[in-house]
Amino acid sequence: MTSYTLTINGAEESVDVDENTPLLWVLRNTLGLTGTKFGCGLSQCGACTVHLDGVAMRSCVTPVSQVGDQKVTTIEGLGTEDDPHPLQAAWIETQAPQCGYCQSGQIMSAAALLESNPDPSDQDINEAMQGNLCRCGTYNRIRQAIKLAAGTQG
Amino acid sequence: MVTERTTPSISRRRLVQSAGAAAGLTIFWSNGTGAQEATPTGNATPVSLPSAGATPMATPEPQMTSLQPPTSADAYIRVNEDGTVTLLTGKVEFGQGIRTGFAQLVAEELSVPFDSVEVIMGQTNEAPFDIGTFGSLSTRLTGPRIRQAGAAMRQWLLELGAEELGVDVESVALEDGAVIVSGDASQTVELAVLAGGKQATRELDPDLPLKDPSEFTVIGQSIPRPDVSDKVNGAAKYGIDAVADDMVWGKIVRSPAFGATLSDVDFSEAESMPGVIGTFRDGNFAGLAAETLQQAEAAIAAVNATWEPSPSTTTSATIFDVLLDTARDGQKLGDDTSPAASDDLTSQILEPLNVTFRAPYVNHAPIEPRSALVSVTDERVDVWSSTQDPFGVRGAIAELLGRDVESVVVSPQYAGGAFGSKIVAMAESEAARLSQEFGRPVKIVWTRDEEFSNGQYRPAMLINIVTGLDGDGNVSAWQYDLYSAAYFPEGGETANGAAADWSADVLEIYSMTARTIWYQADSPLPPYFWRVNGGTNNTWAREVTMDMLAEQAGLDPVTFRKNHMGDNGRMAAVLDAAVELAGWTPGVGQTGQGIGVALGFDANTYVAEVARVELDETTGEVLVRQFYAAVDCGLLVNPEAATHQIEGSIVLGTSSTLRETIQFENGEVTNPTFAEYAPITMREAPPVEVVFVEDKSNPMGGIGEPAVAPTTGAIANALYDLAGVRLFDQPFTADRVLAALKEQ
Repeated sequence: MTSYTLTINGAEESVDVDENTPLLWVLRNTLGLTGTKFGCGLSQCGACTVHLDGVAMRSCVTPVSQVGDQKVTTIEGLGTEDDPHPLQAAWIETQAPQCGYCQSGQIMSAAALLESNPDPSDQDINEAMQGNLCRCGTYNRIRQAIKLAAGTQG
Repeated sequence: MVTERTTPSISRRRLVQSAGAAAGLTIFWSNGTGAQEATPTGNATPVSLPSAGATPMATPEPQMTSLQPPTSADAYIRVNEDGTVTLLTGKVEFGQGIRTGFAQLVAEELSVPFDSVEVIMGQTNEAPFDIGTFGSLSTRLTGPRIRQAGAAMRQWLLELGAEELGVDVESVALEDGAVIVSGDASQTVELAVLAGGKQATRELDPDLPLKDPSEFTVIGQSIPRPDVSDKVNGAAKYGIDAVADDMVWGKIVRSPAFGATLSDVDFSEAESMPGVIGTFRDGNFAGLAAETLQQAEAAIAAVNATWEPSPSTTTSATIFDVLLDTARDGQKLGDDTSPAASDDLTSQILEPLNVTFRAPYVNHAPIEPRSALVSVTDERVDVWSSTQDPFGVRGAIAELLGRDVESVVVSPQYAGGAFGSKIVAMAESEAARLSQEFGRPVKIVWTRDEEFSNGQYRPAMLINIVTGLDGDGNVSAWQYDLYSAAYFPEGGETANGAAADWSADVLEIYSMTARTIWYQADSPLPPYFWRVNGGTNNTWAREVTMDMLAEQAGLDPVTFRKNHMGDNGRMAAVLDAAVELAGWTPGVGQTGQGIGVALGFDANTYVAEVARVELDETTGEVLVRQFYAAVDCGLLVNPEAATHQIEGSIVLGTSSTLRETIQFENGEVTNPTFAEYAPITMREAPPVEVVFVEDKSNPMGGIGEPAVAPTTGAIANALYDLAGVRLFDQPFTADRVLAALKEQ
């Protein structure tokens, strides 16, 4: 067990966990932030996507020991019901979710995309979102929501 | 849908006097499948769709003394003292939109604002018994009863209101949460006032008029789904998110293959590892638990288990031979007017078309794996899981542990994808056994490997069709033989095709001389329901064969189908609507795309789909560029929610058609990762346009599954239009398409 001080959604959190514990489970089990989801543990589905210093990362394969001073942002920190991120508002506007389980990861990947590319093409969106699987088949709505938030939807 | 659930055979359709002091009026009704008398739990704390924080889950206090699970009721309505309305139903919401649709039905019949209707779903000590949320049954079968209950409640409220206002019941109406004198809204009494402190029962009257569609203000509106908000900010709670004080993490010693048996388990290293609180074995079931997930993972990796290998020698390559070799118990589908099973229709055909279609096992692969949190104490058992079937889980756990059903409480959480995989109590049973053994709440979360390797599968199917044309270019005879494992129940001497045979009978859509036989065959992997079950493969086989016959007849595929519509006017209408929406442009031409059509009928819903495809000729990848769907699901409750179900269905069908196959040998799945199984991503998902063909006087049809079925056929027919290539083995992977192109 090792002590880590992490910056999660702007707040300092102290945790005592094994150094190899994936950030995903530190978030979910140690800190109770269950908005970030487990889907595969192998970085193959994207459900666990968070930001480290604004960069989209798969937290299931990120050991807590590698986080260091990087600012961690989870879906809970992206926006709230009263003060939503533009993507969250767009997600609601387009009614994108069905079961909703993959959507935290989808939104986090989309947020990182728009941060670096405010006017993404369909190809840009495909590439950025390729690692986020959805079995309910909401991909088209997600694409619409990204464009809506980017202000590029006609 | 056939179920083997043992329910009492009494069928009740009357209301039952509340035993407790129900704070509001309460209505019950029967679901027609037979059930016990209903007793309301008016005092139980309502538990709405869980959205609590990651703190120990609160369990509503069970009404154990007077509660007899109302297995005759599919839902009941309560008008609360504050004027809000509560609908209780044993169905659960997992993205298909029924929480919203059901509330719309109630709001409509009671003339209350949609926002004032709360829906409590699946909480087994609160909601009435339900057979489970699957089979596109919610809107189709439960929906009408919700409307009838609403009508009964309306009548009761009108009578109460009339009495309160001192007028005849014919003089009053319900408007905006109040009873008013028609034409004089100043004479009014609010439902909150009427409902306060009263208990009442009302016999459900099926002849009581429902609100006429011409008066609808809620039904038919695309009301935004209230559950969406929690699903974009991390607040929504799924089965995997459930936590409890004092819980431990369980891990199961997993079989390496279906059919393997556990001969020896050595826990000696694992049991002394940090955090491990216990190990357990009973026959083939063995597991352990530890304080943290990481400790449990480390400990299970240190278990030495010896398994006797599976006796199965079948592989994903040999399964189709196995289906044919083990075929038995041929059962003719359809009614007695179709030819007998022994009739050979093919001898009449001059140029018979003999085609065989093969479809492999596929996995549900929901993004949320199976999980359960179970707390077993002497007095009660609590289960939290993302189940499609809370009452089924309740019964299974009660039986497993030898408890009274009333002492087991299932609090269903949102499911992160299900598609049939979250019906049978699997993680729930495992966690229950360990909790009983270790005396602490046990949390089990399946790994992705376990989901692919130890779960359930849509079984492989082989379909042979022999058919041909008469002198007029119409189908002269159609002989359809389906080989598949029985979905449910598995095996058994009296198994029927229930589910494998969905859409196998061509006569559900077309008029012709036909006979359909389902042959039960062996399955090395456990078969189970998978969104629309055999419907997709049967629809594929039928719709491709129709295209082949059309070509033989020298007719356009749309024209050929219409020539065989008989009096199936609703199907003809969706076919027309789909081709109009798509713009029917066969022969590639200027579009550079192939176009294909496929029809489907399921859950009393008519579907016509058109696909436009392109091809990467270097890699063989089929690029599904656009899908169009025309859908007649009868009276439409929420067009947006229904549209979304259709979109999602088509994306799932596209994925299984192009990519999905479970590779296995000797009972062991050999591609148990997302990377290998490769469901489609955003890049491959086709945009979908939907048009509804609606006659509001038609009954509400199901919408969760029907649009999955025609996807494979539409893609197959489009690929042929584009490239002159037909694949008779799914999935249509790039390799296979490339090989087929080279063979041309």
